[in-house]
Amino acid sequence: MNSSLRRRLFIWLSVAIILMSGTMAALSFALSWSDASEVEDAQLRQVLAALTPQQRVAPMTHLPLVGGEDAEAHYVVRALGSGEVDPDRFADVFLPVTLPAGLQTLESRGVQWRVMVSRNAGGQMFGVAQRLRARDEQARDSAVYTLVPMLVLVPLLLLIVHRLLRQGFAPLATLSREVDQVDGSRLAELDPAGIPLEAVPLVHAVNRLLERLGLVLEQQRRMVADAAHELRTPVAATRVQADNLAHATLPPEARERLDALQRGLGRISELIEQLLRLARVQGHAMVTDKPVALDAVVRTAIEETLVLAESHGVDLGCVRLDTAAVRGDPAHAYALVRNAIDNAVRYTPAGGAVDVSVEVQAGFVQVVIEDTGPGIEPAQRERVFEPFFRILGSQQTGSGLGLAIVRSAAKALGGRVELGARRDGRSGLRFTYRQKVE
Amino acid sequence: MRVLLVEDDQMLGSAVLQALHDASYAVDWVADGAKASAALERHDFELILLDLGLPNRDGLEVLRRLRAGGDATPVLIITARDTVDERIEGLDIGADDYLGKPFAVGELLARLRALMRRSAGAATSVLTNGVVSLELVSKLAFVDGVEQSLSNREFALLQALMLRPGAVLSRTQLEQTIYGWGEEVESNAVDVIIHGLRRKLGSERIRNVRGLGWMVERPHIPTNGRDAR
Repeated sequence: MNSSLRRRLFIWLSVAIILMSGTMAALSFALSWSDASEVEDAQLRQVLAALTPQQRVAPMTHLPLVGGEDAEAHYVVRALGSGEVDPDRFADVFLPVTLPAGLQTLESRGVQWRVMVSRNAGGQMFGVAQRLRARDEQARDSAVYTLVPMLVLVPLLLLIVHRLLRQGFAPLATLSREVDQVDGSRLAELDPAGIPLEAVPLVHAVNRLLERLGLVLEQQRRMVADAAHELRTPVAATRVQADNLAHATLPPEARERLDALQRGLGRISELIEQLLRLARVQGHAMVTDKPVALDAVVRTAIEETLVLAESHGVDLGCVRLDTAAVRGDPAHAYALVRNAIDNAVRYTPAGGAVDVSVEVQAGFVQVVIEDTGPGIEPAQRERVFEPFFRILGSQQTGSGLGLAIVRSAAKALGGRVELGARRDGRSGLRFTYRQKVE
Repeated sequence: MRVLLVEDDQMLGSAVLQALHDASYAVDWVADGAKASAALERHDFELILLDLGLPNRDGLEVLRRLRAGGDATPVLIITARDTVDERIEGLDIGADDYLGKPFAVGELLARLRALMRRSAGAATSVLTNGVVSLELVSKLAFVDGVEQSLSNREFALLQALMLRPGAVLSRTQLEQTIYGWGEEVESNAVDVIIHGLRRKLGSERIRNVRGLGWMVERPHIPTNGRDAR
């Protein structure tokens, strides 16, 4: 199971961000809390200092309120030991005479107070008190305010990290799409431009691999071409020998056997030629790129296949021939069309027909070849393009390379080949080749 | 008829030698380029069969020297190198024809005969595909030795077909051969003329190819064909 680097990074970064910001929040909350307590103690001292001598003088039975609008936050000034004036336990407090001078916390009837005790000019002890809860609320409020920016910024930070990761990994996704497009006939190098520095060694490694792979493929292709090429001379010699033998006076039985021999040699010659053609359309050397009149190519290919069609009893003809120019190597275009028509004629029984059409539509040329043969099962339509693949039971004597040549030539030209059933419901194969017009 | 065969492969060389003997050619056979050049300096040949991949001196080099010396003997290249570029190079240097390996003896002999005719100056005053012959001067057609006279348009149309036996000419192409510039084209003229030609020559002599046009068959090359010389 492969884990996504991006997802892993995102998860760990998120955990780190949340942990860090949580700790920061707790710390700043605690700090601003204690800060607020100190400030309020200082305020208590200031309030006491600000009391007029009048207010400090006994008997102070009255309760002067000092503070803001919030009644909870009001300060209570009392002489120690004096009785309560307000019966509300939240509004008033009894300060026992035992309280020492200075700051202290006092519980009175279930309410906590912060009290500052001092002595007035008359030597009488008195205190200024504030409810702890009111103080706590103020401290909490100011501490919470310090958290607000963090609560807003942390999700924003997570979002930014997510976006950055996605952007950072985008070149890798592009790269893998590029690698996906590489196939045996097109071992194009990957372009390291725009790839992050860390991934560039990988790109170079893949490029070196492609280069080695290309060399191996080219060696293999050249091996096939060389083998076929080397076979030409001995096969030529054997054919000439057999032809020479035919010139001699032979008993009828020997002549019959010689005919079979010559047909066999003819097949070997054809196979060698097809092997060479396949190696040629697969090769990258000597590829020309110029305008090709596909309609003229089709015309020539039909002319060249007429003899075969006649010997098979197949009516080969053209139903539409638009003028169609494409770009590519004329030899590839010819190999494609010739082998496709040849294949259609070979698999059409005597009395059948092969219809060829060239149609230009919406910027594309479409060469369609329809025959009245048995057609090809959908499951086998991909396999028939493999070299030497033959449909079981077919008695054809072709090289088994025709459609492999067709597909390689189509790739070299930049077009697409498709096999399907006839559109009119009759038995037969519909071959389609599509390429952009020039 | 003296022929120089230049071929380094023993098996193919001896087989071709036998085939040429059978066809009554007198053959000298050399197996490398240097010897070929030497033989060409000492003797006159009426035809040269030249392989390209030769020891000591490449076939193209032999040909280049021959032509540089002003020798116009017809040369037929027989080779396993047969891409279009290689063919063009050979023909540019001065080869008269090109035959790729492997080949049938019948085709080799047919090409040799064609080369002999061309070099003998019996230039094509007669077009033939082996069945139908057309005399360009008298404008007479011959089928199996039987003479047929032709109208001017029939002659023009048949000549266009006979110039390239095996090539399919479209209706438009044929109309251009029977009408001059600016002449009004009658819609069924080609059909009428072909109908007339078929009556005179036999209907199977001019073949219709569905959707493309008409053609005459290309010359049949018998695989075992020999001509006694």
